[in-house]
Amino acid sequence: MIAIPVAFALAVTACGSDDDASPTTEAPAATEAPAATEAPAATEAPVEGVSGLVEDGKLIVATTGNFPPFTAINPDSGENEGYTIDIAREAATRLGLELELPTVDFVAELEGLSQGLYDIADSGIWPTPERQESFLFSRPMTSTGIIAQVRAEDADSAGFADVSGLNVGGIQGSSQEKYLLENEAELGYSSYLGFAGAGEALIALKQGRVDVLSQDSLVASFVAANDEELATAGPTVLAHPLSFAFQLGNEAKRDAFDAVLNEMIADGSLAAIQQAWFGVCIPVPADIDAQEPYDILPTGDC
Amino acid sequence: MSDFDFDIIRRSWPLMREATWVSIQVFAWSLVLASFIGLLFALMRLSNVRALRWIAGIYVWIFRGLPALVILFFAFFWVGRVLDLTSFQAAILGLGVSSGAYKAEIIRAGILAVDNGQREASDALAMTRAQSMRRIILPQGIRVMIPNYVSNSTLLFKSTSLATVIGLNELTGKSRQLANSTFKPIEILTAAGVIYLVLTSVLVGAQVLLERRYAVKA
Amino acid sequence: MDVQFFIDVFPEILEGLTLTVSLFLWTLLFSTFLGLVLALMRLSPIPPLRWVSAVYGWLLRGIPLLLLLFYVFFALPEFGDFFILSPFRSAVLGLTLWTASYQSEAIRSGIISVDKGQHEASEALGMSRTHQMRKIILPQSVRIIAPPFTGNAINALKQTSLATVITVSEMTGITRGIISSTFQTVEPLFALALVYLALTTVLVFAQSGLERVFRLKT
Repeated sequence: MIAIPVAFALAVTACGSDDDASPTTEAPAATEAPAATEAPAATEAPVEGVSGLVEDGKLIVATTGNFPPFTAINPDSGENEGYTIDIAREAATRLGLELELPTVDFVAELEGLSQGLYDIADSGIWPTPERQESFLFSRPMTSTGIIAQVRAEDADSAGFADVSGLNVGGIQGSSQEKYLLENEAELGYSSYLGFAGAGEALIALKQGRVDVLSQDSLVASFVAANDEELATAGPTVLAHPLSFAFQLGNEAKRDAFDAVLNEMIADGSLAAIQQAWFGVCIPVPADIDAQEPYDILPTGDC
Repeated sequence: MSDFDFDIIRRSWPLMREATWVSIQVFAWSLVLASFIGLLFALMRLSNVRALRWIAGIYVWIFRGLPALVILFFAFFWVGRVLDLTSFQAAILGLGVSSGAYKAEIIRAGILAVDNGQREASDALAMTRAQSMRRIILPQGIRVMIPNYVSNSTLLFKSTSLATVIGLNELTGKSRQLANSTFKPIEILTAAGVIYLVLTSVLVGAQVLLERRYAVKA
Repeated sequence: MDVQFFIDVFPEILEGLTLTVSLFLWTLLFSTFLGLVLALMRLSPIPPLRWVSAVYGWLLRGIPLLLLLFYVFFALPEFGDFFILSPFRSAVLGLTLWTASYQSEAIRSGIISVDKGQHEASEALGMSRTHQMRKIILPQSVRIIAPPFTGNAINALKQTSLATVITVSEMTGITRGIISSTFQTVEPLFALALVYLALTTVLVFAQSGLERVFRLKT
């Protein structure tokens, strides 16, 4: 089942790609795999009554709306938008369902999902074995990893290999925070600060309260591309898949959603959404249980 | 802070205005509920009936002691599921019962502040307990209650922010979301702070008027 | 509810207990002192003192604590390196400034509850204003101050949970961390609520102790 390590290739910053290992071929490559893994027939004939919906005719996707570029509120339109939102929208259309996007705090997102108030929780969740005990997960919708976010003048540093003696930070409760805390001895940083949100963490980085932030790679690249004061440094570590979460026991609904995701990977529409939000194509792993270690490959433009 | 971005506030304003209105409505309803609960339990705590005193004491102990966040969570996901409440209704319920416990103590302190002689005098005038409470004790106690009552209400107004945990799109939650979406927390939260300040000023203004009205004429 | 998990989360949450308690105790100490000063200023015969105290109360009760903590942590350093405080000190400073605005109202309402006759009597005895305040007025008002004062203290205890936004990872921050790694909500929240309830219970006992000591003998 841990078939396709290549699928875990990662978006390092755009500059990391003189390697033209043709991501364009990579995305389709990843798509053949899931067809082999599960529900191959579903790719052909989707739709026709998704069972177990919270409300007939609707796909209710709870989102936190505070995690760009995955899900964030656009102040101009007032609407949530982002990578996972676009996927949810496309999936709802293909399933013939009306999309509803309640914005909730992440604690409520989890509790609401487990109580059956929502069909899906988005927010780009790493389906760890621990979390799989509480929820059901879709097939991966992207891969990502963890990278060091730094001030622009430190862009040439070696990232996590270079944090000895520095002040580091991360988002409280995140996998990126966990990476720092679990490797404290090895990394040798002098202090750790955990922030409640990405906005505060980035200000602290700019102010010099911390020198390195442990960030999701896709988020870090997005930030670096939009803020000239900030950059990423060093290689990506701990590659992992991101999925959508479903209530336990809702296999039928999850499988119908997976079928649509597979379809979107096959026809290139997922790649188009990636291009829109990340500016690169990111190989999508086939299986949520595939765990590290993998080779981490940079990807280029689509 | 040298590059404070006013434009992001301007762009976010329509969303924040909408969220402000939600906060105001939740505040107003939960204030009504909290005041009712507060008065009821304050009177129970001062009652001659021991069982009533105990019930009220336990209520105050529990609902002042639990974080409002947790009360809201259970109001929505437990009580709300049984009674089929929306997050708006669950927020009013949760904030009302939580703030009501504080209000009960504030009202009790106000009543206690009224001199015992007053009570005895109204007894001597053959007033019933209810009469003396309504006509003599409460009007005098109000003077002592006002500062704390208004303080606590400004607090309640700001606590509406906790209802974001049950999916209510109120001002703080929306602001935090905007702050993290735009990476401009200082600007967005400052704007939210000004809105809160303006609105609580209404309460503080009411306090000044009330204090003047109930001031003791020397 | 998964009872085993519920029991298992306690030790982890309690790792933040020392931080919560020390945040609270420093805040209680400083805010009581500052609250008393503000209350006396508010009741002073000197107009500028009254105004400063009133504006302070209006401003600090008007803005959300979240914003105040943000300013102390992120904006204060703009005024020079001297103002770069550690996260813990920033949290104590923010919590103190904020809580004092509420405590000053609790103390003020206690002071005004003391009968005017008492002022006059102590003046007739040739007592100075400070002397009167210390020996006559404050001791009598403690009983009236105790319930709202404890209410504010309980509130301050619960508000320490906001320190997590400026990276002080106390009990609430730890709980959110547990929730995000396990995706279990009810058990960690319930455990957290019980710890807060235990802590506030201590305060409730302190309150009834105070009320008993200062009860009026009739």
